[in-house]
Amino acid sequence: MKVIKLLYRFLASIQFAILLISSVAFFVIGGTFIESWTQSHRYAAHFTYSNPIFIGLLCCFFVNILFSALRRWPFRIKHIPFLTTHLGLLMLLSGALIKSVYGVQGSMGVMEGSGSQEIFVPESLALRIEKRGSKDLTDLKNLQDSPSLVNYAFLPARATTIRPFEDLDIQLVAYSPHSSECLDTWIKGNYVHIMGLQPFIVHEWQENNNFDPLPISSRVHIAHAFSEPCDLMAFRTTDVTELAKKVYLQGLNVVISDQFTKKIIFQGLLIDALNSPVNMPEIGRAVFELHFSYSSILGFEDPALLVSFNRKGVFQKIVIPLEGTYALQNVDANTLEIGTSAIAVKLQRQPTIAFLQDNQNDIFLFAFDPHGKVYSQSFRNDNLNSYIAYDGGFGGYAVQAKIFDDIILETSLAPRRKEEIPLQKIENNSPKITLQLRIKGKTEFLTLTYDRYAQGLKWPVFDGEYALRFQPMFQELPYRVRLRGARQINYPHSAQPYSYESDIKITDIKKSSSLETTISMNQVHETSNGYRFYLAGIAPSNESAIKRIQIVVNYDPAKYLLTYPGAIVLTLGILLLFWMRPYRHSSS
Amino acid sequence: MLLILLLFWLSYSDVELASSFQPTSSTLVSDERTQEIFGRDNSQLPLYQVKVPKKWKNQIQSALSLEDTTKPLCEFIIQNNEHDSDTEKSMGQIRITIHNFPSESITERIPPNAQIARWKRQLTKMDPNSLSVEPQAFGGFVGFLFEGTGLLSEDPTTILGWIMQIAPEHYRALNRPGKDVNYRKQMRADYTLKAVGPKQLIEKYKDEIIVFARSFELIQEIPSQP
Repeated sequence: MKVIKLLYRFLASIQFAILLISSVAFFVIGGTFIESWTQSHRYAAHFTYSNPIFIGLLCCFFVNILFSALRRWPFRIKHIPFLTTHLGLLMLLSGALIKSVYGVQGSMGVMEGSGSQEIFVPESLALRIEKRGSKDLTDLKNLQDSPSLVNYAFLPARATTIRPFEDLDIQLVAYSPHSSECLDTWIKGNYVHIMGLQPFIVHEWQENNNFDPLPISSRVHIAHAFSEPCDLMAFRTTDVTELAKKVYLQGLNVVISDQFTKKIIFQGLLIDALNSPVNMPEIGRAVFELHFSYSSILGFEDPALLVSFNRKGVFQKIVIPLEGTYALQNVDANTLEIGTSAIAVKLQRQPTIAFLQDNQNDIFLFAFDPHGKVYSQSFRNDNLNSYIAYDGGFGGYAVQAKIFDDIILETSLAPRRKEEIPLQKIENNSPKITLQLRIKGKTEFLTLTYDRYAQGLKWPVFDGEYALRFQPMFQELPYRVRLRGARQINYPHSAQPYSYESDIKITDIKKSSSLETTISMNQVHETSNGYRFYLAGIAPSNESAIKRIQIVVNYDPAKYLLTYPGAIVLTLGILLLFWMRPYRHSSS
Repeated sequence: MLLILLLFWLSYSDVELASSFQPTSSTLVSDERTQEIFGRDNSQLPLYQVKVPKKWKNQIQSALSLEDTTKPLCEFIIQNNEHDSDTEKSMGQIRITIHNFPSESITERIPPNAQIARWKRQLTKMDPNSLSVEPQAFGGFVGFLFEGTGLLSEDPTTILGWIMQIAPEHYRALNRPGKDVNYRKQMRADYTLKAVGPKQLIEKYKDEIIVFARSFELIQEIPSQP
């Protein structure tokens, strides 16, 4: 009993209060320094504000304030200012505690014309698990009511099993704090994979290689497209443009015939004709120029073969575009007429499809038809233009190349993940996890990289029975927000933004009532029960595409009950400390 | 105490409470009504809604005649009773028509430039200084606002026209197999909103027409991609 009394006195004492204040100050100062050194708020929070010791200190504050007030029992009038300030402090601390447990803080992304009812909690680690046959998103009347076969679960601790669906068990078996992910398309490992064809090998090519001719990896017949078999080639190189030109010129013949008699007056390799002019009795000296005009950023830009000659004292130049509406036509460079020159220039080659991979792992597909026409398409692993999602992603993903509007090649998308050294700025880390999944006696392992904005692909398991994504936790709100329009408002006669505004419609799901309003940088919308919607960003800022806004949603259930009244009570108590008559008497 | 109250009030000055929001140009004002417009699919469900000033007259077409896309879904008239001070002639009226053009696939859609070219051809002796084409994006649709002044049936006329196409990502979301196939085809249709009238009258009502056009939207929310 004596020990309890001593403990009680200590917990209520000013000494304990000073100890607590000093400790908290130490944490806060430390947090400030850590954040400025690492530029990472999360790193600082890990050692300070989110640290269990810091939270314990706040709990000790609560105890100290409560006990120091209770020690004044029985209370007298002169205790009013003291008790008032302490009550205010207790209300503030209680409000903070309730908010941390029951409050809502997250972000919502909405596109113009669409709506959302979910916020994601940034930096949280969760799994989105979707079962095949999930809600029909095209059921417009029942967008909100259709049953959901999507579950979210916080990432379990290692060796802990969670059961998001009745028949599915998930266990975390490996975790890595930072990783990178890229999507392999045509080239996986050292082979090119095209659906329906045998994989073929990828060669390394550098400028000083002695590859002459360039190796052909395979030769296949492509149904109904080319009458001859097609050569397939694949290389890794640091100079895509140079190699593509080499591939194009390999085995490319130029055939020149008389426009009128159709008699062939020259036939030979174009690469030889480019190196030295060709003398032909009918037209004299002909000079050949190839404008390959390819860049890995823009692709082909008006590639063409130019043939210049001086026939009977008249200088003539023929342009043969290698791509586009007028591809392979002989265009007179002076008159722009087609087929009016004295000669006809044609190209002949074995049709070829080449896959070139650069040192960024981007893949460039080139196709050259039997007449020398060119085609190219790029597949950048961090920015694919398009992909196919079979069965909404449950059947896997693929990319397609449509060559010359006739030939369709397809290959599956395969993720390749690599562990990386964790960054000091924790916010920029992308964790990687490996899960063991069990269903009806079958076991599969799945590795996933963190998808920070939950915009990426879901990966199928068990033949597409389920699909998973590692992402922030999503929380459903009692409100649905539909974005009707968003805009950037500029200063008059200027492109500098003055404000950002969004017209939204907020529907209270329980009451089935809606409200149309506008939120902007300085205009927050708050519902009657305390949910606040802040406009955090708009992209793009112009009218070139539909806009997507980010809304930060905040809900503090104790704000009006405890936090704000607590602040008022605390302030009142402080004022009373200076103005209460008993204190004036004692000072005098 | 006054200081506390002042601080309290200041903290609420940026907050719009649900019960006391300020109406903006996007929300219904007292001299506007919401007009629902049906599509071309003979369904019982209205497709679009738009905020119309009460003084505008409107005419909604019968659903039975709407399969022909040359017929407008609806029409509004802004009647002006004022007279031109120089000619003493009535300043006429502005006719606003709304059409939509459903398609089966995204490649079937007519390029917006073709529509703009058609509007240009409607005006003879068009004043090149009056021509403007500005990108527009709202309500899930992307397109252009065309403005041009010329002669239409020998009268100086201004055309103010929006040609809007639903964004490709929304087109894909509305083109998936499922329920309400016909209704979703209407939802992903391109639409045009054209105001034709005397130049002075268009200038007078231009802001009102722009607010009207930007309030035009689908009634049903477009499903978002999971």
